[in-house]
Amino acid sequence: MIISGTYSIVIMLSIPVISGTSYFFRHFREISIAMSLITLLFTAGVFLLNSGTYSYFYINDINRYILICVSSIYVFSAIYGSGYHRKLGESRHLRIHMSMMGIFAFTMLFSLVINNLGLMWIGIEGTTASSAILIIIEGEAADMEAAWRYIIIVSAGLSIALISIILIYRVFGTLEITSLLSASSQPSQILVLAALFGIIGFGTKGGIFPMHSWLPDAHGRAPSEISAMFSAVLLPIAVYAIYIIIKTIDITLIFQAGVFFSIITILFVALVMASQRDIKRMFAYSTMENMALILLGFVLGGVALFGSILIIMTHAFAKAGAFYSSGNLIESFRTRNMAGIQNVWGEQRFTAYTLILSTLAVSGAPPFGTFLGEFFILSALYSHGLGSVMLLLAILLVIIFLSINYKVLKMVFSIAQPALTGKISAQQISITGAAVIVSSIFAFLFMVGVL
Amino acid sequence: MINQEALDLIIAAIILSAIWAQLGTFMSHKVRIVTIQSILLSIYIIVLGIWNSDIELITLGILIIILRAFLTSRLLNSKLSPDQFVSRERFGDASFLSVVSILVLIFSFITYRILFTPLGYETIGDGGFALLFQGLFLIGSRKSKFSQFLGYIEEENAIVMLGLGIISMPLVIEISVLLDVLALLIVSTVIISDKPETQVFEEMTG
Repeated sequence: MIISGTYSIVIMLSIPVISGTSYFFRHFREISIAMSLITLLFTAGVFLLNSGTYSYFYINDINRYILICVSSIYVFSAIYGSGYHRKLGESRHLRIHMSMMGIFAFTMLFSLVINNLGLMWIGIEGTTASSAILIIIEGEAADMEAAWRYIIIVSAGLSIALISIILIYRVFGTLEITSLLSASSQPSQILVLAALFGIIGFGTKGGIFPMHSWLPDAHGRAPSEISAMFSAVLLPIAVYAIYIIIKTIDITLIFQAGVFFSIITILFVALVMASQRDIKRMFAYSTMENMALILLGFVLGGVALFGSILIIMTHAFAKAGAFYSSGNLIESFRTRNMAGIQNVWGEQRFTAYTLILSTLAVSGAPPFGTFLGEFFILSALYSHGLGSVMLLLAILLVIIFLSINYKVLKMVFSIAQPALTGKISAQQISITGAAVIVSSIFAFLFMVGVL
Repeated sequence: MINQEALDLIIAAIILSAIWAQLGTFMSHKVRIVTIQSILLSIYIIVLGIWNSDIELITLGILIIILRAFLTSRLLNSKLSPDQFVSRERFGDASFLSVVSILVLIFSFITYRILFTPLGYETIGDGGFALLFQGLFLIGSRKSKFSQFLGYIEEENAIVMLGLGIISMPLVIEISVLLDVLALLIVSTVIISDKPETQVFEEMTG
């Protein structure tokens, strides 16, 4: 390596912070995009580092994949956002928005690499403060309400996670993640409490039922590039925090709790998906499904863990593509209601393609990586002797798949009078396409043995 | 013994302040109550720090006074209308809320004894657990964003108390938590000042 591991990580973390100063410059858009690209470059360097500790930081075979997703989606969203908000010109709102995007990316990257569970909590709480302001760029009353719900529900939930961290510190005497993962623990009431508080607390941020209620509101009201960042990378970070806690407290009851919370979340999504009217809320619920699957894979371990990583990677880009496509449609049709978005095939052929492909990818259609991931998780459930749970999960996944794809196909192919009023920019079209193309390569990489 | 009783008295006062905050209707009074609560908590921590010659605890106590008691109340007050009747919270049945908050208090005491017994009993931990539920109740039972945020501040105070009862966290983490809450407050004031009460939007249902 030209630069040592620690320096690579420090530079990777510093660049998005420097990007926060773009507010003060006339070419703030270009600076933000350039900084996001440099961040991605250094993240690629960090991705290639060996697993292990680097001063205060820790790289392993899970967080390296999420890191690369964070930086990639940061680039995509910075470019998409500069096109999506072009009407705001050089306004103060847009300057704050582009600057805060860098700070938001920093808090996410920091949460992933820091080798201390307490500081990881602080990073995740920091993502709330930095991202809430990103929801309200358009300043509508509903945006304000969504941002408020996001702040208060997620912060209240994360406080519960902090109790979990205090209890872990009491039992293990350290918060260093590497030490926690290598420590052995005897089952005890305190550890059970710590794990349950951890699952519920971090699960609030990760969109796990029953503390998920902020998620459809915030995803639905945020600008599309921010919805993409939330869904694609922010939520997996919270689920990764649960993974650290589950691995630290490796006891049977936690395994059962993890399976229970995952299944009940997917069951909830299956029940509400068919009644969705708002395109972005629909994709937000789809995110809940995918986060629950990722959590399930983390809990089951082995081949399911690999399935989770495949879902994280594919879902990140596919869901970003889905939200970017939604943004393009909302801008064109001036509505979020799916009943008002019709004949996409006739009006916006390219967006029709990206919407269909990204929806197929996020809902687990073959040959996308999500399908392989779901297959690995289902087979792991069976090998753990949970055949009935596997069957139930398979049925729920089919219900969700049919609900979401029916709604999307209806939007794309229904015939109606053209109602287009807005025009989408070239940046938006190209980034939407790029996200969908990247999402489709992970299954291929797996098949050729790269992953 | 007398010293411990004095500390226990502070914890009782903190819990009473939480009940008081549930019942108050004037926002400026509520902010003051939660400020008093934070000051009481910092006095507890500073006294404990002096007794144990623990510089970290003393630092934490001082930081809570500066960041949570002084800065937080100043920021919240700056967003309140000077006319206290304008920023008055209207909620249904005060007697019902007071009964429920007392029930929540009893429930939290019992739950703490059941769940946290293996750690040994600590009054501060018990008080913290009770305050946590009072904070959550304040968030859940009100429409006013000010009240909800004060509930969140109570919750964060509760975590500090729970931490003292279970194990003191490293100072760097305690400071970072304080700063995080402050950052969240700054962001929240932008949102609170726009519409002080939560609203129901048809598009945000389902």
